[in-house]
Amino acid sequence: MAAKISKNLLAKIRTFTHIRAYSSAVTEVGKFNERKNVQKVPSPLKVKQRTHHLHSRAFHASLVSQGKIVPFKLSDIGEGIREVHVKEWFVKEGDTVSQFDSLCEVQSDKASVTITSRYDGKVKKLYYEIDDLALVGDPLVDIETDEDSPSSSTDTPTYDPPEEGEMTISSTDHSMQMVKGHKVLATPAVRRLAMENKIRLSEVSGTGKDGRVLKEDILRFMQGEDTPKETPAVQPSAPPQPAVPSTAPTPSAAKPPPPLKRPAPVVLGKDKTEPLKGVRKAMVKTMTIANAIPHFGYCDEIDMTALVNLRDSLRKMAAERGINFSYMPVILKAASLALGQYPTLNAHVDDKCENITYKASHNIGLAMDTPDGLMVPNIKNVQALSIFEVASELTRLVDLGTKGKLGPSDLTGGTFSISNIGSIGGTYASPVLLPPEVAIGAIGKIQTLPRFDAGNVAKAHIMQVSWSADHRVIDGATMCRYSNLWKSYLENPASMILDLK
Amino acid sequence: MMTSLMTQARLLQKYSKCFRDIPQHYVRNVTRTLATHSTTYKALVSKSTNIHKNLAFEQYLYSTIDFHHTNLLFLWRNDPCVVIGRHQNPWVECNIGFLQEHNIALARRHSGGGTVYHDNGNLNCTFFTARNGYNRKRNLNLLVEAITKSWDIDLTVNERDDIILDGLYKISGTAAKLDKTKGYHHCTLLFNVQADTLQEALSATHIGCKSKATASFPARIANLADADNTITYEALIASVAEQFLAQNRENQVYSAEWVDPGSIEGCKDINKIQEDLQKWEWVFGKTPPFHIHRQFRKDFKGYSSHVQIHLDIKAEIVCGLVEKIQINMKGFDSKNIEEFIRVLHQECIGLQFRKHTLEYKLNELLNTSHMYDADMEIGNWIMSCILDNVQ
Repeated sequence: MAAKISKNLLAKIRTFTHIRAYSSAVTEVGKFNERKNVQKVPSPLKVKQRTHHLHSRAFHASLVSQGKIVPFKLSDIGEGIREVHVKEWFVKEGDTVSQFDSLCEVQSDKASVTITSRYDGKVKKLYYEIDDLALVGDPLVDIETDEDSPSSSTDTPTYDPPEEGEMTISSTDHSMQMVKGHKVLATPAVRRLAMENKIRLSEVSGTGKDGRVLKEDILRFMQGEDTPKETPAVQPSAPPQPAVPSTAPTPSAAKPPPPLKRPAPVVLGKDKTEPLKGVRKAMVKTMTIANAIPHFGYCDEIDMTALVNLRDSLRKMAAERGINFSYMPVILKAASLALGQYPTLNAHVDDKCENITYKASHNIGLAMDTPDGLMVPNIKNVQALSIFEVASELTRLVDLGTKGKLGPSDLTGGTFSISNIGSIGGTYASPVLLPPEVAIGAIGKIQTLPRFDAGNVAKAHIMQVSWSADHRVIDGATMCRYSNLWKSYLENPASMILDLK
Repeated sequence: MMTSLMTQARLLQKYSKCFRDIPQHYVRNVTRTLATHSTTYKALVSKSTNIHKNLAFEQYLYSTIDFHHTNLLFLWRNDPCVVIGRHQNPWVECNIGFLQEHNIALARRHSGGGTVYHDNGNLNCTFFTARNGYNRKRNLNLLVEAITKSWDIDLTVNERDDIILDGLYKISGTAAKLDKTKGYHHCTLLFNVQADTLQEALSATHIGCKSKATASFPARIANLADADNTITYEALIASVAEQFLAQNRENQVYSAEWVDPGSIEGCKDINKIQEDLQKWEWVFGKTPPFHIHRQFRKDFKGYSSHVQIHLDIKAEIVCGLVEKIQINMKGFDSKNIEEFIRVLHQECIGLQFRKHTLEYKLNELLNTSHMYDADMEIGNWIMSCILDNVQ
């Protein structure tokens, strides 16, 4: 029965090809005889066997003998892709293929595309090997076609790269008018009315179901009341919403505005994210560990007037020896002297805080702001150095710091730390311990402030200090007494002589 | 030629007697769907977390449904597994030994692209459309929109079709498969994946491999939950499905359906595809041909003195089978070992490039080789070098 279907009907039926796929049981056109051998689910390993069905085709009136050799070009994949890699061939030269059989698989970037044959016939030549680069528009295979097979089916799609936010429908041979790719729906009577009045349906906004153009719409258009047609689904300005292929919105179905719509922010600068590296990364690590330690703070102010008065004479002496005088070496030495009386503050604890090691040498660290970031080099054995030696060592470290050349021996082994934030500015601070140390101090800048001196207001040079200590091992009283001792050395420099070693 | 779809549909009805296999109600459905002429958006969520079952189900959906007027979104997630692209080389892309030790499955999908690690903290989205509706950027933007609507995080889509968090971290990879009439685009979405396991699983230990297989593009990854820890699987699928289904017209109300691929109609077909996907011939055998060239060196205490032996192993693997293997040994002269190597060259051809297959064969060869002492020690070492390549 199947063989008696006329050629004309066959050609007409071929146009239904895009409808027929609704039932998975429908065989492809041209395979009526093989209804029973339907392959419902193409499995990955069996594609090559598909060509076997074809010998028993009694469908064509003439046998395939000397057909035309047609080069089958690689059609546009879309998305502006110009070349693809051929990854697998499903046919070889000499195989017979029918329309829609898979020829090969190509890969473009991330998309794996199966190329199917457009013609019936015999594969004469493969233009590419596996892994070759195939260019769009160039021939992929040569197929020797039968005389009466269609040279191109009606639904050869032209894959235009989809515009942003819009769906394009493949060009078919319909002479229907399109509105941005959607066919205008109208009954034949309405169409005739439009045609008589020389109105283009695409210009009329439809108010019927599915955006259908009704007679009233035409009449209204003719009376000039029609508003310019809204373009339904294209919003290229907003962040691309998925394209809704519905036709012009009907007045009744006014959609409520989306609840969380934010106005596009005006961005002046641009966010910049970068990973933390080097010193900053180390700082993250140290500070995270330090955060687990319970700190307590203790602050006080020191009257530096005596030292300030001594400065001039001390500076002269230092200059003779080629060193710049500053208060820092005196402060450090005073700290070391006081540590001699309170060795608990010059100690290390282990991470679980199970053991405390009283350190013999006073390696006092000085927090420094270097071009690389915060670094705390320490001066070793301050207890054994004179103020002068401390000063020269300090100069050396500052030099290295500014050059960014502080070595590991300078940076490790500290037992006590002082941060001179006052050199930049500020008064009180809240320093964070440098594990495994147990105490740290931050000194502010020396300000000239009014203070009472035996009932009269006098000018005093005041410097603030803020101590932080590990409350697991240090108590407030210890810190307070230490601070008082250190303060007394600085307020009365001569008293340092008593504890000199 | 036909001038209207309606006329075509009417003709189809008329001639449907010829199409014996189309039941009449399909024909009626056709005409109705053609008449309404708009796209329906549907969403499915898989109840299964088996990678092979889900891949099989995805393939089944792709081959059986017609997407001319339907756009389907399929949401799924899997137990820990690694999925390689259609034309990739698993030996190069992932650490096969690690996968076997930790019971992480390995699967090869049909779409192209690179290798990904899945676990229950990774959401997969597959967008099925007709061929002309295929648009990866649109899908990815839909996902970004869905997530940023409910959570305040910084997501962008880059030119490689990855979704990037905070401008730095990749949280999604994309792959696609296209046909003449339809196509699908699927992507991953890392919301709470085990980053350490991912790192280990995807660090290939294989060196000395040369092939034309698609190479993966390694990238720094992060989880969505790192940016906002209220992002969970349930919340995420609800957001994404809602955003996708909102594209339906107002009078079509759809919600995402939960589907168990093991028990729906057609599960036999799905099981068949699943079996095929699990076969060694598919997962490993579909690897494009590649060469291995490695060198080893070891010191041995010979009978009289120290000996340093250089081993040069070259192998060609085609379709996962050893096509050719060539071993050159320098530094020790022994007739027995030369004989052993010669036999090895012959016997290994055609074997699966698989640890237990090769191990079995090599053990057999060693046992029948009548080698003793130093020779046997060297023979064992050669075997371990060869097996080192397979893992």
